[in-house]
Amino acid sequence: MPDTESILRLNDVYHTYSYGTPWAKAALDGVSFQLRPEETVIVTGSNGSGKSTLLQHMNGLLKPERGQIYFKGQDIWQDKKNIRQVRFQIGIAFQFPEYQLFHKTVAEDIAFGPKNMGLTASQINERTEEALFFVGLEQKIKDYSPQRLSTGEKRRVSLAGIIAMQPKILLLDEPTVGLDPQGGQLIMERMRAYQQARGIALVIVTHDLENVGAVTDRVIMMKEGKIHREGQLSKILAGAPDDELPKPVITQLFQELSARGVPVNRGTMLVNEAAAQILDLYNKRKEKRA
Amino acid sequence: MLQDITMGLYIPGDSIAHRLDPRVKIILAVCYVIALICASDILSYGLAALTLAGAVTAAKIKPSMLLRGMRGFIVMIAFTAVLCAFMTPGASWVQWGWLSLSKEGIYKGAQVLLSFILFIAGTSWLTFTTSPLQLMEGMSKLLYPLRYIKVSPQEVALIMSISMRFVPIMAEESYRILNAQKARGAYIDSGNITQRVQAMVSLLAPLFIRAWQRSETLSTAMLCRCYQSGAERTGLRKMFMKRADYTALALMSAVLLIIIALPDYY
Ligand SMILES: Nc1ncnc2c1ncn2[C@@H]1O[C@H](COP(=O)(O)OP(=O)(O)O)[C@@H](O)[C@H]1O
Ligand SMILES: [Mg+2]
Repeated sequence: MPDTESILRLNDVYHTYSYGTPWAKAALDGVSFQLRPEETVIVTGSNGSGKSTLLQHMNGLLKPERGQIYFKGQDIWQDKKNIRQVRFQIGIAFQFPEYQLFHKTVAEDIAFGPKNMGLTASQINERTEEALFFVGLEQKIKDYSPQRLSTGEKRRVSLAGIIAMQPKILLLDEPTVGLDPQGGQLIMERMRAYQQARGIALVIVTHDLENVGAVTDRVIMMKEGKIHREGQLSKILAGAPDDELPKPVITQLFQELSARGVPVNRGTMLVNEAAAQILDLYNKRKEKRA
Repeated sequence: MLQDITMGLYIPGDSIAHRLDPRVKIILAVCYVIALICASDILSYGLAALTLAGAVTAAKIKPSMLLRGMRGFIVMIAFTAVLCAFMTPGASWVQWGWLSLSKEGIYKGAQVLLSFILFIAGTSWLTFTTSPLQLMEGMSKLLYPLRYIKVSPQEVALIMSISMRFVPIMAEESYRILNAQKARGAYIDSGNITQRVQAMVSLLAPLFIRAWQRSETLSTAMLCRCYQSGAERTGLRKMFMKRADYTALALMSAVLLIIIALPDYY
């Protein structure tokens, strides 16, 4: 069934690792999901809930045991020869992508994907420069060896290597894990800016809900291979019990206030939203006094 | 592909084979390998296969698990067997142009095929039923005589067990790197043979870097927990032989003796 609404659609996808062995493990248990073009989706959930497995299905690195995956209305596994073309259009950054840097220079590593796509040297150069710009790195590091960069810089170089393929969908697996707060925030901001500039779809796996409040349209929460909750972040934060996901500090504060009878929104997560509500309460109070 | 490597893995269980003394299991495996080397006739191979079947039954391992472990080697084994079949001199039996196949050749090829398969299955049996820790303890006890030539048996055993442990770790690591490169369009599951070989070569560099980093972390962690080379180590569980252990040893010795004693006849 071709559809124009979504750029990517997963239809009842199942995946079992080590099928038929004593340690067989159902990692995806009937997941259906649609991604609209230009949409940002956050995927969260505890370790082992199947987030990375889900992401690898989205660009055809893993083949579903059951169910289909449609990219622009086409079943990506219909013709196995086309899978490489699909992978060029759906970029994925694994957890700790910096482990996979292996070229002698930064520029060579960024060029790995575009080269495989068969682009010319000048096109590759242009894309490399543009990708470095998007991840906020200086052009002069092109000739550096990746091994002498800091962890945050390495991470951004590996992201540049994916951006340089100019994918229609960008999948990021825990892009901020292991970085300092500023480094993490910088990556989130840069990726969001890139997504907006290019009008692509963005899927981010993260536990770091503190940093994504301003970024996201939609959140998916995975649990034991299934989609457990789905919807707007503020709604999910308001509804989920405390031990289910790490709530941002502001959310915790506002839920505490709400529990003590103050009329505030339990799904608050951004500083400006919080300030607006506090100001509102303060003004009402002042009016009452006057 | 890579994640299907079952060799060197341990399958937890509570079968008779799992409960055997690890030292006994190592000796059994060594005897079995010697028996395979000595085997040269149908009867010997049959006996070795029977022994293996008994051991696998006692371990409650599904035969399909053993076959899975062999999948990665099947091309190599088949190639060696075919090569052997054609290279063995003898009276020509079938002739295609300049290629000639003798009865001796066919026999030799079949022999190589059988020994390889039985060998891989037997060594897999050992690791399937014995945890890496037990293997290491068993090995260091068996290597005790090395003391007399000033080599620490525990260290040799430790080195061996760490290497064993690194097989699945490196398989996992290469799986991650392969996937990352596939995602950027490397020809790993597509493309022609040259492209695939090139893609495999670009796997080695990052794999080597990761192996180095991993081993550095491991050695630091060992130092932090006061590992000292050459120090005497004690085990939490004492190993002792039970009736099943003696029975297994007796059976294996019998098999080995019969195979050695059987005349080279076919
Ligand atoms: N290559 C693999 N082989 C076997 N099991 C795996 C593999 N990768 C993941 N798993 C298992 O699948 C489940 C889901 O893993 P994953 O998708 O990595 O979860 P998450 O990214 O949410 O932490 C986990 O239980 C994990 O142990
Ligand atoms: Mg993960």
